[in-house]
Amino acid sequence: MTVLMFPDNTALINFAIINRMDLLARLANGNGRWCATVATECAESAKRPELAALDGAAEIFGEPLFPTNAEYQDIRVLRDELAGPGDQPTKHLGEAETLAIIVRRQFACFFVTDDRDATRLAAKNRIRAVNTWLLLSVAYRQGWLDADTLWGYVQTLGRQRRGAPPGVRDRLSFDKWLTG
Amino acid sequence: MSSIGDRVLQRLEQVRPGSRHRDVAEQIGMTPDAFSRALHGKRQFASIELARLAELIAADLHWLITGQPDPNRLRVAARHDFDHTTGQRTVPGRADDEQVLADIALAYRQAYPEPETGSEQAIAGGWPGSAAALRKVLGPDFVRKFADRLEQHLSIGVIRVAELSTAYSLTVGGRPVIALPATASWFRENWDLAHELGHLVMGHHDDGINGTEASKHEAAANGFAAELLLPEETLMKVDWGSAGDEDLARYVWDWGVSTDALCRRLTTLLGQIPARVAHWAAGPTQRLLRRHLSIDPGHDEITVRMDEASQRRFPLSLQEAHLDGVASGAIGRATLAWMLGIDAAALEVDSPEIPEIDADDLASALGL
Repeated sequence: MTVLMFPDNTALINFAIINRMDLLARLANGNGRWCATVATECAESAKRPELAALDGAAEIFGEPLFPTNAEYQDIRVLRDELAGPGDQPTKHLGEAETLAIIVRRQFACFFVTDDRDATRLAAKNRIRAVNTWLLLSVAYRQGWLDADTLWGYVQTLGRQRRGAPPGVRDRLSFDKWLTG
Repeated sequence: MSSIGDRVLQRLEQVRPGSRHRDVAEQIGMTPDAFSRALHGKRQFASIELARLAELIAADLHWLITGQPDPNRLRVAARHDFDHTTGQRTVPGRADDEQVLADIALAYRQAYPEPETGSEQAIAGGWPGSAAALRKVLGPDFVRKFADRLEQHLSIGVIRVAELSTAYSLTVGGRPVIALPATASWFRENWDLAHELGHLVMGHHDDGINGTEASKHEAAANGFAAELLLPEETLMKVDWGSAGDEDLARYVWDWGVSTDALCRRLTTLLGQIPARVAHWAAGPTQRLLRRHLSIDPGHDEITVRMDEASQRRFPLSLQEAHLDGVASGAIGRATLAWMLGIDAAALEVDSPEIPEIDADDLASALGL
């Protein structure tokens, strides 16, 4: 079965903001995985009251995957490919660690992120990337969400500057995206 | 063969002797039990734990992982500001400059992921060691296009950014670089370039050197700069007693130095300062040039030169390597945008299409 790998907090935080970690668990369907750096970052984010729902992530993803010594070196190279000026040394390590593990261990997986650079690097490494909006649209198609509820989530996340589905500016464009 | 845990323990003993592992664990966000198991090879470190640990114990991350020095490391020879009155050398902005230097190093690693094997040694062995020989390599009137000539003839990348407080010479992965503050002061910039070239030619770097050695390096680099820009042979041919204001302005302009630098050089060479030189050295170099340099009134070369020395500058080859990297999807556009001094969102460059995934295909792959 294909695995859902979460290389950063971007999508996780979105599900925590709408308080639907249960939905994320259903989507992962027992195939969600994360690496040790993302688990660490997630545990630290969960200390913020508004993201307390992230506490449930450990149940969804289980024991984190730790890098091997060889993967540490891959991580450094991949991290450089993600970084930009001004970034602290700890930034992008979750994405780099996840990519290094996927590539070395040849996982068949989807890479779940809303980060454009992480998506770019995943594509370069022939890894398929999916984002929050695609996962939510799958939940809608499975009948786990109705359109009005999903529109509410889009508005909530938009207010918190978490982005929007491609091309969605209002309810009309949202309906078009959902049925497209 | 030693492990990561062994090297962490070794470094801890060097920089934090007697520190409790419990406290170290807490500072890097680990439980004492997880830290202990990681130290003893019963658990791997997460990369974020290792990065935090490297920062805490001021260790090179590559060395922690492999036990070897990082071939892509940044090696800096600091440009110390010298106060002629107190004789003190300091780098007051070094702390603020660290991030800029790290960003420059990132730009080079992204463009050239593979280090230039042995090139630091090649620099020392392949370049002429004397200022006179380097002048020949750089070509006639090199000072007017000093940065370009350094890149063309010696493959030294020259960077000019407003964020730096002073000039630095460095190597990144063995590639030589000179980084300058954008000040619009072309004569200061020329001196910086010559001084930093001296550091590179003489193989200076500030890895673990003491104050005495650093001062020796600075003096040697200043001596090199003086001989490169103001060769003794040339200066001694001038009849300084009869040189007029227009002559002086032309010398300063052509040699690309300040009146102060010329004054100090003549003091060293002649043991005394010609009166006219001393007079103009007491004021800004621009004053002499504005009053006595013969230039075309329709083309203000002084302002043109100032403008050139104020422009953000990165080697074109570095920018081209980034364009290629962005086009192939290997790197993002943030660093290229930073080099150009523009917002990344405004940067229009070609990049690969990201294949879209169909929601039904995703559901099927997930067994839903």
